[in-house]
This record gives sequence, C-alpha cells and structure tokens, in this order.
Amino acid sequence: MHKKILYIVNSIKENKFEETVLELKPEQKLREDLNFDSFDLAELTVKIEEEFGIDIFEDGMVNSVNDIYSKL
Amino acid sequence: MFFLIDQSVSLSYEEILHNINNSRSFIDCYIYPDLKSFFQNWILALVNQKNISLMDSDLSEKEIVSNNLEVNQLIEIKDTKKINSIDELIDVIRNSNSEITLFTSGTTGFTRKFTHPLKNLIRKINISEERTQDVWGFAFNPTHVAGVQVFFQAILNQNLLVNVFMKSKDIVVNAIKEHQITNLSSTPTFYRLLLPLSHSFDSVKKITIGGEKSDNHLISEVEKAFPNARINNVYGSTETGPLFSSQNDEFVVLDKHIGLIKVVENELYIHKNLFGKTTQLNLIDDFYPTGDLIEWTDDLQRRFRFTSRKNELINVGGYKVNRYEVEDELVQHLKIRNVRVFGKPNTILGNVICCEIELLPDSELKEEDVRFFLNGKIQNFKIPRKITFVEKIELTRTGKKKIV
Repeated sequence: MHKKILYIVNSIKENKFEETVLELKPEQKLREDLNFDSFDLAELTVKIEEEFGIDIFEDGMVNSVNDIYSKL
Repeated sequence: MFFLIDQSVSLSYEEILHNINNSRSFIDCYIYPDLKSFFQNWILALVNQKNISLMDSDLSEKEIVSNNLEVNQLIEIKDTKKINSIDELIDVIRNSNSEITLFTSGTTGFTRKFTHPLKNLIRKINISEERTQDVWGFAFNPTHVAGVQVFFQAILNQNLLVNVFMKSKDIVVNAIKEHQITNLSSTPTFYRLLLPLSHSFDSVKKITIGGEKSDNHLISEVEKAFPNARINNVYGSTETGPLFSSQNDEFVVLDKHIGLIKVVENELYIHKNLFGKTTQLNLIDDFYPTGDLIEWTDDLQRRFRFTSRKNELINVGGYKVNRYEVEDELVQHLKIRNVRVFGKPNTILGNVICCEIELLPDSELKEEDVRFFLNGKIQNFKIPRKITFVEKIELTRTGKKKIV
C-alpha cells in the first residue's frame, strides 16, 4: 500500500513538473511538505479511490501522509 | 437508378415505385430494423398522405409510455395511390400533406416529440437541375431532423444516398471513393473520427457540419481533406430546423430573425413562432431558452459564436469550466483523434475535470504528456486531473459524444 501511495504522489508531482520524492514519511504534510494545492488533493483522492475504492476525504480533511494511511 | 446503398443492400427508385404500387399498409411508430425498409415504409406513408412518427430504437419503455406512443402499428391504407413514374413519385412526395413526428434525443434527460407538416420540413430543401448529380453520404440518424433533411434533399433531387452513419473510418473512406460522394452532412464528431485522411478527396463539393459545437481548427482540417468543398456550419434543432449557418464558427443573426431571437445572460432564446407544432415547450415570455450559450463577436450584436451548453459548465471549486474549451485544445494534439471532457463529483472541489482520450492508430501518449501539452494553453483549474485512454469514445444515437 505504501508503495502505491508513493507512486500516486509522484505521478501528481510529475504532472506538475516537480521533482519526485524517494520516500514518504508519515508526518509529512500534504500541503506544506509535498506542496499540494486543492487541485492536487482532488487528483490524489480520485487516484486513491480508483486504486483502493475509498474516498479518503469523505469524512473530513486529510492533512498528512499518516492520515492517508489510517483512512486506508 | 439507385436511391440508397447501404453496404451490400441497395434500393432503386424503380423498387420504391414497385413497393408503393403493391403495398396496402404501412407501419406507424416504426422502430426500424434497417435503413432500406425504414425508407420504403416512410415513403409509402408520404405518398398516401398519412401522418407518421419516426422512432429511434433507443427510446426506452418509459419514454414510449410517457409520450402515449403505440409502437409498430400496422395501418391499412384504403385506396392506395398508384404511381406511374419516378417524376410523379417525387412530385407526390413534395406535395404530400403528411405530418411527421420526430423525437429529440434524450441528452437533456427526457424525450420530447415534435410534429411538423412536411411542407415545413422541406421549406429549405434546394431542388434544382444542378443538384441532380449529387451523391450524399448519409451520416445522420434517419429519425432525427438532420437525417430527415438529408433524406428529402436527396430524394427530391433523385440523388443517391450512401449510408455511412456510425460506420468505421475505412467504410466511410471507401464509400466516398467508390461512389464519388459529393455531399456530406454530419456532426463535428463524425469529421473528427474521419480525420486525418491519408489523402484528400476531390469529389466532395459540399460539407455541412452541425448538431454540436464546432471549432475553427476542425473546420480548417476538413478544408484540407476536402479541398473542393464549400463548408457550411449550421445551427438548428429538432424543434426549429436549421436557423443559422456560416463558413466558420461565427454566425450572423438574419434580418428575418430580428425580434425572434434574443440573448439573456449569454443564453440564446428562440421565439415560439420559429418552432414546429408542439405543446411541450417550456416558454418564458413566448421564448424558448435553448441552453446554448453564446458570445457576441461584434458591437452591433449581429455576429456571435457558440461557447458552450448551459448545463455543461463544470463547477470546479467555484470555477466554471467549459468542457468544449478543454476539448478544443486537446483535439489539436497530433496524436489525439477524439476526446471527451466531463466532471466527476469530488469531495474536495465539488467536481474534478476528467477526460477520455482516443488516440490515433499507432500513437502513444502518457498522462504527463497530455498535462504538459495543456500547460500554459488553458488555466490550471481547467486541466483534467484524471486522464484515461480509451479504445473508442462512446457516441449517442445521433452520432454525438455522450455527455456524462
């Protein structure tokens, strides 16, 4: 699961022509550390939902990498 | 002399005469199995001054019930009309008092029916000596108003119709070559799926584009493929028939339409007098709101361009996205044959822009290539966040792209 999330995060970064990351740390903030804006977060939800069938933002905000892990 | 060629099936004018002189009944509300029997049945009704409803096979049980329709009714004709020559046949069709009922396609969520006296439907048909050599590629659904117009244009000039509706590119290309098609009339989607062509076709003299929003890029590509063709971009509907036409994507309000069309909050409104006989229109002060959004391109408010459909703007985090604008950019990519842009409900933004892409044969593209292509061309919020590559973009029964 962690690998898949890393892949999805990097695909979003590639789409914005940003450098990819080698690994994700649970405490990393999606907005501050990964530089995701609301459109990137929307892309993240769509891609995670496609992969895992779960809408991670359905019941509230997701702020960190760890929040994603715990929703899944 | 042939009237119709539908791959291995053909129908000659002589066979139509024979059928008329030997049939005693026709079918109303006919859900047609094939074009040949559909046309024969229809012509029989017209010649005998009978009203007829033209139905498409995609009407659901629910739509049939809600419109009080009784499908496939066999109607006996007493004193059937006998016809001696093809010229007489054409004359009788032209002067028929039949009323024809058509149904709008269901993209707005429900089907409406419209009844037109035949004389209204053929008002704009051009019948002349110079049209007698025309060969039509039949590229519309025969139960919809555009298909009806092509049918009359062809038969009243004793032309040949070659069926290419919903056919593959190879079949269309072969039909143009083999039958030296001179006239093509279809939706922008039809031309997008046909292009690019490996060589140009000189036989085609006239091209009509209508039924969906077109764009100048497509028009210029069509010009290249058919260098001898005069191109006409038309706007109309099942209800009104053709209203505006132009050589590019800019339309002009005609003098005769002044007072009969108006624009409210960028939306085109059409006066009820321009409609067929119907009771099912939701009018506002005698005007029908079309749902088509326009922008004026001159200060006098006589020239305009269609921008989108009212209900097709996608709300993304408070920004309105016109899916056509995104599609227009994408179809300019050399590897892309056709695209469909739509909104998908999303918890963060309300909607997220998605697109399906059909590539040209032997082409490869990745999601990031598409994003790179769009970057800087359109604003960031308009860029699709979910890109799927599909074998084929699904089309509706009118040959238009399905709207999700």
